[in-house]
Amino acid sequence: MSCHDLLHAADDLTRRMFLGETARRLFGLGAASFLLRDPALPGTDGFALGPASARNVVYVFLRGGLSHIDSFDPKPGAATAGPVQAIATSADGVQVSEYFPHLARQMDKVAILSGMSSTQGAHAQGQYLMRTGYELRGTIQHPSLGAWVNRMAGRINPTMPGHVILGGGADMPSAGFFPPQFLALPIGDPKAGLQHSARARGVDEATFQRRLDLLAKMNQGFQERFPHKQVTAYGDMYAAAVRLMRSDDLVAFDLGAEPAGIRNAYGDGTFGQGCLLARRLVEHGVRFVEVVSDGWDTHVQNFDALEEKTPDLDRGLACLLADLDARGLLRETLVVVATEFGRSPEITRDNNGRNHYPKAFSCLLAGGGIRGGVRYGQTDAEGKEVLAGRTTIPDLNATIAHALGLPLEHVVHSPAGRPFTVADKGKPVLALFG
Amino acid sequence: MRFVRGWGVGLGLAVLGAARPGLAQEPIDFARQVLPVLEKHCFECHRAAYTDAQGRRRTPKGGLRLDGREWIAKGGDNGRVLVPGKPEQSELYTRTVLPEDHPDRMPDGRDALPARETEILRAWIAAGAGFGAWSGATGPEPVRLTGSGAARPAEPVAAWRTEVAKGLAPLAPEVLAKAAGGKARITPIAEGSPLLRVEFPGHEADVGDQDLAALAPLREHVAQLILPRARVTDRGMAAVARLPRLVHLDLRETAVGDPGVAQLGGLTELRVLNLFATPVTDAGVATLARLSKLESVYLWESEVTEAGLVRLRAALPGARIVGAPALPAPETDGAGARNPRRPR
Repeated sequence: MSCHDLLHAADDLTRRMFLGETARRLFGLGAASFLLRDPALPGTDGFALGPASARNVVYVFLRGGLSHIDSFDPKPGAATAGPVQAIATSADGVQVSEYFPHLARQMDKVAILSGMSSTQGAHAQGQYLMRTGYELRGTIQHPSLGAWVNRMAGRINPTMPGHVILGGGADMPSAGFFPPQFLALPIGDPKAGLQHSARARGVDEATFQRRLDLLAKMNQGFQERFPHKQVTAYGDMYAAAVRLMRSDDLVAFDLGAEPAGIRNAYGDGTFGQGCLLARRLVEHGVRFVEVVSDGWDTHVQNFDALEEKTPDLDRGLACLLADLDARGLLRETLVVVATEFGRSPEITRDNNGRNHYPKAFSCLLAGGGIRGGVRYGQTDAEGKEVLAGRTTIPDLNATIAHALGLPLEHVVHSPAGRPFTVADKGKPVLALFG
Repeated sequence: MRFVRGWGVGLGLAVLGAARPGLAQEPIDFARQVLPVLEKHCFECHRAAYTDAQGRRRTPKGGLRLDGREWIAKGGDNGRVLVPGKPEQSELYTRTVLPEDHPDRMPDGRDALPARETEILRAWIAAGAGFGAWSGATGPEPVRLTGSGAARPAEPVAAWRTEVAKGLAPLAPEVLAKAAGGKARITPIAEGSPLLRVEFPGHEADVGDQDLAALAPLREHVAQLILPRARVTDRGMAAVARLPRLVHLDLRETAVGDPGVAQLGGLTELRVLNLFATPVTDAGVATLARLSKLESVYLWESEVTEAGLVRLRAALPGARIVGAPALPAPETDGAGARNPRRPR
């Protein structure tokens, strides 16, 4: 159904249904709420921002729990390593597993956090903790890190959303108890870009404008009679949607505008193309972009699964880092690679798999003022225990927040009056900066 | 049990050293059997630093401590002293059985260990050198930051913030609001800093040279000027050249070329210059050689040649001159070859 048909059908719809349907069609359910917010200068919400080494974040989230021993904390020769070898990288003294030959050439830009340790060993709880910094509770929905970043540092580009999730489902924690304008815009398939954002075929600009004017006329009386915040918000959202439709920034969502050579270098999978779209969104001032990759829960035939899955991850990440760097964007873009937990050093005897292992795992940080070519933290010879540089999930979030200059001590209250901070009690890993 | 094992050792030594029966097969209890040997013969020199009865400070000789399991595993200045399962490669054992007059024999300058005790060491190592529940002194603090990047001096990302701001007071909020004029996003680089970041997100296509000229009231304060895709030209660089505290200039994907870049030679604080996808050439970037504080220059997709990059690198040895990246080669039909074990 086009906008045109909708207008015809408007007689049968309530006005609220019409507006809701139109907004949904333009941006997908829930997606339009990001448009509610007017551009805010930093500090307008009273957040005192410190010096920032990073402006944007690309947060790669590997759902299911990436095996640390088979990726960024290899243990060559140990019984727990299985058949996987370690390879040298562009950073002397830093090895990664042989599954990451492309990323190995970018490790001079990357810090591996090998002492990650979580308290949660189940997926839902682990993912929630990793993405919000707080433990899952029945009584409250915590905002995700992307929502915190946008609330505190503000959106960069007033036409674009501040927080986009690529390849992630609606089940991802998002705005939590923050107002709905901090909801992330979800894009399921990066190759498809932003759906329904073009004028319907056969509707020229003049016709489109006439319809908008008509809509405004229809709404006017209603808005005068019911001057509620939410009614106004819907009108604002509509105006903002049209603004994005007409803006030069819309092209950011279109991977077709990218040269074939670059598209191919990222790999044609959803993950690689998601990384490419993330780069384009960063170029157009999106503050926080998440790229979600599923299927890392390798309980069964761990090594077969990793051989199948790691090439896309390796290529996408390596390309993203090299491309951002050569465009001069990596210096102010913090790239995070996170996962909810690691996988057991013991290889299961029955099916050659690895189980959940929150006690010790690895995450990556690169760009945005992070010192590259280092490993922070150390596990024992079998990858079982953290010996040094233990880093909790709140510590990781605090490190990200520190790079962005966010005030770690600033307390924000939930609607029920409970106090929260961006990284709970986490301490930033200052050794990773300059 | 104790009697039986003791008897086994005695018998083994009595019969023939080479046969070494009994002990190697028996599990050795570290705390009960090995630790007393180390305490009696080794700890005087190989334990945590201490002050002895004569008031002398004693530090572990050869950097070797034997008073904790992690210290034993770590070894001394010359490396490991214990290879579990291989007594003949473990100096912890081999140096106790050297001839009396050998300079490496341990304990140094003291009576040799009785054969019964060297045999305990040997058997313990042969059986895998387990420590049981014993851990002893807390081990060395493992290094938290490793890799070649750990040795690099601190990146200068933060230093300029105070350096460049010296003696400058922040502008009044009204001045900033007026200068923004609906298009620019003007923000202090940090709360309280007089230095400003100026960018035009969402409005790049409407930004022209006149918007750069409009920055005049802020000229002492602009440290970062971010203009990707803006419709600015070489002529607009005249206004940019009048920003004495400009540290970071981003002109990527603009039409600014050699005549524009040539005007930037007086920007002595400039550290980051992004000329990605601009028409600048070798001749244009040659003028950058004067800017000694430059840390990074981005020139991918510009008209600068490989030779031009090489010359600029020679002229600015402290700067990172960035050309085309080495992106992963696009996947072909034979992509599986990259990872031979990847199922296809």
